[in-house]
Amino acid sequence: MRGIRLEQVKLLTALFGFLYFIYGTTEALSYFGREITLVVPPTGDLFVGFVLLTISAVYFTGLKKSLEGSIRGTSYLYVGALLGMGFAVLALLVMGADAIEACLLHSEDFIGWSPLDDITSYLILGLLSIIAYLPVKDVSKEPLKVNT
Amino acid sequence: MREVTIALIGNPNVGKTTVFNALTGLKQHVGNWPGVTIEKKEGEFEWRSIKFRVVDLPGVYGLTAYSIDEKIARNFIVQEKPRVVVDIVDASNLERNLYLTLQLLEIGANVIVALNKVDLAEEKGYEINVKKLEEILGVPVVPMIASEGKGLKELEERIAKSLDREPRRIEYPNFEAYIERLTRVIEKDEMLSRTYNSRWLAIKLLERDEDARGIIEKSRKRDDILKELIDIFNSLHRKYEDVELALADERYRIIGNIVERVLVKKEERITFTEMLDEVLTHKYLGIPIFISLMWMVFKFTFDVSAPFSDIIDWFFGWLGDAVGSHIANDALASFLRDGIIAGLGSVLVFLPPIAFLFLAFSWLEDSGYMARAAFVMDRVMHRFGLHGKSVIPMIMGFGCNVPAIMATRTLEDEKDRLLTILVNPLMSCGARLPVYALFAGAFFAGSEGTVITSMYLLGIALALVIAWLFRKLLFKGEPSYFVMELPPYNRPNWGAILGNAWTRTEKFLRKAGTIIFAGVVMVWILSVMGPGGYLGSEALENGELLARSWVAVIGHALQPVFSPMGWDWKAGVALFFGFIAKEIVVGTLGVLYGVGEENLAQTIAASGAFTPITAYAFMTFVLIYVPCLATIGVIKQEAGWKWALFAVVYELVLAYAVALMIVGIGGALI
Amino acid sequence: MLPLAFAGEGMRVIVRGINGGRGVLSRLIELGLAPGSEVIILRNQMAGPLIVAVRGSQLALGRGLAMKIQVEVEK
Repeated sequence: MRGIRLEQVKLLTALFGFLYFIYGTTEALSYFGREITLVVPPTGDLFVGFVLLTISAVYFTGLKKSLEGSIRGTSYLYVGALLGMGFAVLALLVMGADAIEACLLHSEDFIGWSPLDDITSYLILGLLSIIAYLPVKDVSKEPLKVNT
Repeated sequence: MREVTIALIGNPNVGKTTVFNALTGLKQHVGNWPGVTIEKKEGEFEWRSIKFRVVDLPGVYGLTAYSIDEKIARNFIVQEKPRVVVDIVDASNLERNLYLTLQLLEIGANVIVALNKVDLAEEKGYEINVKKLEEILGVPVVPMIASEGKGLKELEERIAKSLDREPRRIEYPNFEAYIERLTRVIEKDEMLSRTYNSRWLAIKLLERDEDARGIIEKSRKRDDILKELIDIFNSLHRKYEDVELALADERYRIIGNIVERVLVKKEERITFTEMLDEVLTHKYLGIPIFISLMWMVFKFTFDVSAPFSDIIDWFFGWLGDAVGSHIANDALASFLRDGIIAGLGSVLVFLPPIAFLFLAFSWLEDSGYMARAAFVMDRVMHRFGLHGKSVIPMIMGFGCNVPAIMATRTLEDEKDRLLTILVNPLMSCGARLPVYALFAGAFFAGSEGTVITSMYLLGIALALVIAWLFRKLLFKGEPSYFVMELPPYNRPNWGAILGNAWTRTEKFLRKAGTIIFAGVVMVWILSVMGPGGYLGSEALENGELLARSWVAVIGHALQPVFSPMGWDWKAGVALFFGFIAKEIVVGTLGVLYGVGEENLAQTIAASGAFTPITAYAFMTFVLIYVPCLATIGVIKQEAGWKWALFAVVYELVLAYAVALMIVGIGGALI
Repeated sequence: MLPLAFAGEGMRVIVRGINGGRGVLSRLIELGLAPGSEVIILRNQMAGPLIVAVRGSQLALGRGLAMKIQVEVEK
């Protein structure tokens, strides 16, 4: 059984909590009219900001627990990573749907569409979340061992 | 061929449906239990030369008959006497599940235990000695992993071989003497002991069970039995304060002994479920996570299903033109093209989003999250007089109110259920979105998102306020007690998820589909016909011609009603037909303004018939007033005519009041 | 003795009594919450419902109901 160290939990929750917080904030700001582009432009959807900030809050709660020395912090890392990856899978599905519209149906709304248009902050963050997920992925098969 | 009836029973969430599907395959028949709206599923399978009719009983925790589900299950076993009762037991939750098993043995049913989810039990660190369990219970025990089809063949074989087995008797040491005494008196009535298991009747009488009491009332030996019962109670009360509790205690003691002997817990572990629950039911994070997940569900529903809707839309457009251009007779061609085919198209365009929504919901249900959603939202719902479990039908209402209202069946209390049904149409369903999109695009360009979101929020706010109000006025009292099992989280079982999503989609198609279809055909008839007879299919494109149709007659008749809000007769017609189904509003406006749906927004904006304020009022009216015919139909089916009528009336009044208020306040501000 | 609603997270308690109608009582018994049962409080956030573990399963209990269940803290 592979384990995870508490130090690792602290590091990963801090890192991802911060990343999601930054992008959540830029999404929220863009809804209120202040567009800041960090690598990818914001979508301008308030809910995207809400979801990203929620995930950030999950990670930060995990950070807080693990700083207190509680192994429960691992749970937050796990759920944060799952939510983040789920969101990315959704982004991929939307991209696939848009590709059908553009390439197969030649819909008017999708003229000049390119897959790059659907690359969003949450897609990239979700793919990065795999890094957070890998050390904890085995919990669904085998109970987790946390080394302090 | 020999035909034998067997029944499947088990607690909720033990995988009963999976076992049922695996046993019967596609040979299933869905109906209702007599007199109630609870689904009855039957299927069959063959083993060698025996044909088994399998009846799927409702998921229950026990057989005390306090809830309708339990009554159904119990009556079936007592009256229909299935030859074998397969009790599906969750191996990872043995202790609680055995309570039902014990009650089944009490009735004298020929029980076979299907010990499902042995893989999960292992994961939890449990080791179960099946041989020993079999020995102690005295009935066959078949270990299974139904989701992977493991143990099925053996189950079939054990069922077939147990047909003539003598039922095993269960003994309660502390009560045995009393049960014996009562049984002997009951057995004096031969009629009684032939129809019922007299031991079971005796136990139930000790528990003060009302149904058992009713059975005795009709007996010839009624007086003897009651005399003995009073006698027994007199001596029992010296020992126990409450006999029913004492019996429950006795059952759990027996179960405790069994579990101790057959189950070894290897170690306590933090499981997957505990880790997820730590976060998903968190005091502060729970609700934001719930909202995030719901938003993701809707994004999946609407964005990912869009190309499929477009394909259907395109296909029916093409089919209509193809058929129309090959038929010379104008009336017939128009009937087929604009009536039948357009009608079918308008129903089927809704199929992809509805199917996607159900897929997402079935997945969340199967994974175990839905129970957590009820937990997390109970605090909010409770404040407005609703039950925690109301949240699932409410959310489903965003997709379609028809299945949402059917989903209220999980609420056990009648008042809670009625309340949830009545406010459900205020949850803005998918069919209302095109109307918002049209008007937001025409009058609020640049802030469509905010305007449309405000509609959804208004709907939620109204639903909560109305629920609170109805709770105060109509359904006095508190919501019923909240208690539900939180099943462990599951990795998705796609077979079950797809099956579940499909059943619901099919129901939607049958219920809503036929009504919407009929509605569209009716709109067509009223548009091409007028007091002066057939107007020709151009009426659908030519506003002047249309002004002579029945539609116009209706619109002008309705106009005085809507003039306080500043809407013209065309708006009145659209709302009139929107009664059938909300998506017809957009189509009707398209016809009335004589343009296709693509250019409709600009045309309406340019026509001057609406100002932004009256347009916003129109949107709120569409949000609130009468749900579609299909929804009314399903309210009638679930709650009766009286409540269906009540829903229609209160919503019309509310819609009118809110729309008038918006026009009034909006006018005063500008 | 105290109401279940006041028991803190992580506590192990024994059910001693349930005040409520026959319907509630028999439902709770079927779910494993009979008098004498050992209950572990998994979540009690002092507002909204509780989550408890009893006889190997997890139950969500409304706060109102949890007020009616009398428990004793296990030594």
